[in-house]
Amino acid sequence: MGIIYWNVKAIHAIIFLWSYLTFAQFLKSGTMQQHNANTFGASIIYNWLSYLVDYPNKNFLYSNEVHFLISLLESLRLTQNAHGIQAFASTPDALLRLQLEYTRLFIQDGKRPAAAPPYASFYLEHRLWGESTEEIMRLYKTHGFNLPPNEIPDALCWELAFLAHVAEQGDMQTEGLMLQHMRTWFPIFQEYVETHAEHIFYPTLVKLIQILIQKEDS
Amino acid sequence: MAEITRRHFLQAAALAAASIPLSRAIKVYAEEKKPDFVPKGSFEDTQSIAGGVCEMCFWRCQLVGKVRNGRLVKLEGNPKSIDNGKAICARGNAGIMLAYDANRLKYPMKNIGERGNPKWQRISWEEALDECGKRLKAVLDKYGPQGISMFPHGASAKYPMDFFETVVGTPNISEASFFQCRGVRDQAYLTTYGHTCDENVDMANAKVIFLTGSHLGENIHVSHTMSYLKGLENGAKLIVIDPRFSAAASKADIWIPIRPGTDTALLLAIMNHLITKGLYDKAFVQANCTGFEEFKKACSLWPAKKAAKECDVPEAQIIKIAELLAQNAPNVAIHPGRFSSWYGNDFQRIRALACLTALLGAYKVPGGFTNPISPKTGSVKWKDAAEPDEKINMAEKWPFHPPGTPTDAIRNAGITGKPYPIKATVIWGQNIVQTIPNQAMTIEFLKKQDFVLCVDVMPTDVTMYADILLPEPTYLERYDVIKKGGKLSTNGPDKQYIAARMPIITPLHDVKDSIFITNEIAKRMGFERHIPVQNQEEYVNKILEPAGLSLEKLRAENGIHIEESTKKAYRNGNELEFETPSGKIELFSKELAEKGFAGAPAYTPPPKRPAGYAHLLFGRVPVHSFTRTQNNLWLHNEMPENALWINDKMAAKMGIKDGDRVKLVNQDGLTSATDTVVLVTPGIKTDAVFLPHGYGMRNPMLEIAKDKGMDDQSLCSANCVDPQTGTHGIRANFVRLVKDGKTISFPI
Ligand code: SF4
Repeated sequence: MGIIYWNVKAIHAIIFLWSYLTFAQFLKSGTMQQHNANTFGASIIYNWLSYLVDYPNKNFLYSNEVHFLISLLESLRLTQNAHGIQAFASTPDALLRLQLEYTRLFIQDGKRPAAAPPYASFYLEHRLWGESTEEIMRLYKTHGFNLPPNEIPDALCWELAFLAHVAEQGDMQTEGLMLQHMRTWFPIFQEYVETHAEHIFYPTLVKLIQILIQKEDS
Repeated sequence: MAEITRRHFLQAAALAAASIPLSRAIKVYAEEKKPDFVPKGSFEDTQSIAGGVCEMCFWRCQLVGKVRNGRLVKLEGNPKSIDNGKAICARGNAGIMLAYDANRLKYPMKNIGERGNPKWQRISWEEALDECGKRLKAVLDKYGPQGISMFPHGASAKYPMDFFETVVGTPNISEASFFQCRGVRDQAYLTTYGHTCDENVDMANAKVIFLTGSHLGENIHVSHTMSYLKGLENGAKLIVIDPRFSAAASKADIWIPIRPGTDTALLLAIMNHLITKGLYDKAFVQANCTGFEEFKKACSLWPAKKAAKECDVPEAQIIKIAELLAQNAPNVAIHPGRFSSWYGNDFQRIRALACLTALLGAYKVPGGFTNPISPKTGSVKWKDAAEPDEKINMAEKWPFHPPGTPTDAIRNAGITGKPYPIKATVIWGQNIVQTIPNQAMTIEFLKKQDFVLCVDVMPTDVTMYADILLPEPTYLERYDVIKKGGKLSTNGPDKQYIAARMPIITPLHDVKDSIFITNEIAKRMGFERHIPVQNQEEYVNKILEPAGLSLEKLRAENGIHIEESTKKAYRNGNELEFETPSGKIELFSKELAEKGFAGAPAYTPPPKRPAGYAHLLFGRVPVHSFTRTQNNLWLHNEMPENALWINDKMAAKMGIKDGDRVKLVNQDGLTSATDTVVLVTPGIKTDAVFLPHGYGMRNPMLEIAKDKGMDDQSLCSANCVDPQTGTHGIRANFVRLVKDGKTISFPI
């Protein structure tokens, strides 16, 4: 369903356009602007996704981030996904439903273990804070990327945030390393999300992430 | 010239190297060339953080953690410890996997489904605490303090427990450690000696160690096990009374496979023999005990011959044990046990153990009932605190009850509304579905509540029934308990130590400690002015202060303060004082008699085994202690399910083979939800089966533990309450096998 239109270049093109339109809050430091729009855009996109995969709080569904998601899906001719999310976002209990979906998929489910804990080491070592997590932490440290100590370094939102961080600095080598790492666990995560999701929001999101992290020539 | 082989070459090189040393230069060179490589599982570059105190069981070994890049890589015993030393057990090692369990509780949750069939919504702390405050206050206003009950467990539950007891004012607090475990033991020793006991009897220096139904060696407590093994190493004789060939039985000089539940008769017979043959420590008894004549009479009801029949033990064995004890007195360690709530006749059994110690004069002597002296520390009391009103206290029906109110009374009140309704329940670290016998009643109780709050580290069978579920830090991430104790010495001053639990890692996810949670709830219930401390550190510092210590000082001392004791735990001469009503050891207790109970230890037979059924025995294994160890990946891999022990002769008659899979059905028709594997063994009595405890969790949130093995507690439906203490006897249950859907009776 429209997937053939998808490739990284297409996304980057959209990012390019978009980076001039929204997210003024990311235009903070002078150094950022020295990079070309493409890398800069990638950084914003990573941050944007990081935001979307975090727990949805008040106003989430009315945020620019979700509006952007819808228009992006439309541009990518994923109209079904776009409409699905739009229709869903306008229902009165949408936030609660999304929170329940998030809780059930990623944190805890009353009927089974959380379907898809969003942590890399869960898929690589069946635990949190494993050896692979430590590798990630090392990578973060060498790139001056500090996260609060209560956070799990290889949580999806942090891996995306780190990608944003290195992309912002134009460090394509590290970005490549991180993407390579993500490709080791993300497909299983994606499959779990797709299998267990009750509506379209999170499968759409993981699909976008999958596109973004796939190998350039694939 | 012959071809040079590899061997020739190496030989020649070795010769050359003898005159021209190469090794140093090569070493330096190799050092330079060494790749920057950290092998997997290595502890290189780790930072050691002292101050941890283990909570994988209640023994509280002192720890250091090795942390690298924010990751806890390994736990070890604190080398400074005079308790566990560098050693920790398998569970202690696996504590890492509790902190890093993917199924851990991570955020405050609201149940918008139903109790037992929850639908979870992550909410903010603010919202969660508001909800708790509002709902608890509503119950308090409508039903009074007695309308709230609490089931605490563990060090983090102490502060909230004190709040509910002394500020909210409810007496309805039930700790499993008291009402389903050791409370009856403590009360029996208290009644006999005027002080409670712990299991730190001086086994290391004993000439005889006497164990009844003990799982020592299967239930590891590091220093306890070390003391036991030291005793054995030094040649102590070991007597083990147990229907099962336990780990201890395998090391025993005398193993008595007793008929389950008849231990008191055996103990009375041993004491009767000591008395009638004049083998007891007359001087000690004369100087320190009271009620000897009545006691003697009580023992005389059980001559060895009669006990032999009752207990299914050869008469000669009973006499042999009595004589072995007498020959080695007073250096005999009569172990008081730990898990003591067996058949609802337990208070009298433990009284008998306490009296046996006294008869042998084995009190405060090397190898005897000598608990080390702990240093003094302070406590934190809520401001303007008061004891709950006596008028609402249901516990008085059991005059020798341990602190709190018997669980059965609370649960009945919650179900029937009599003597008054209980409508809100706070469950803090205790899995009451798997600790209290009769799960159906517990669930009914939970369903009848207006509000259920659970606070824990892991999902458990009871957290499924929460309305609000709050996540706590693990013991590796918080401050709370002060572990203190002592070490006996036979040739110098005793030693004492104080260690405070200090975090080894930062709390993960979005968890909050019990001081924060309790204070916030207290504020929302209108009790702000009673709050005694603002945070965990202040709480611990207040307790440490009277000992001249603080967290800062303890940190500087690598987590443990050690000092010489000014007093010796062993007695000198006979000048002993006891805080009993008579000031003596009460072989016969007037207080007991006045309250309508047997004043001297008396044997009540356990509930009778129905024909075709076997006693359901259970006990620990080295890899599990609490509900929260069940989902631990490392521990689970060591022992994925709990094999059911069945006597080999019985198995042959019943057509059961080793490795068969069976379910169990109990005397009330309850069938286990899961099956498990059979272990056919001569090491258990024909009329009993044994199932290791700590398996068969039902909470589907537990990826590893769910439905693995069989839950013994689901088969414990007999409500067997000890009349003196109100504690629950949990072993009075009987089972038959179910194989391939067919029920198989025991041919006895
Ligand atoms: S005995 Fe084992 S589980 Fe218990 S406190 Fe010590 S190390 Fe921890």
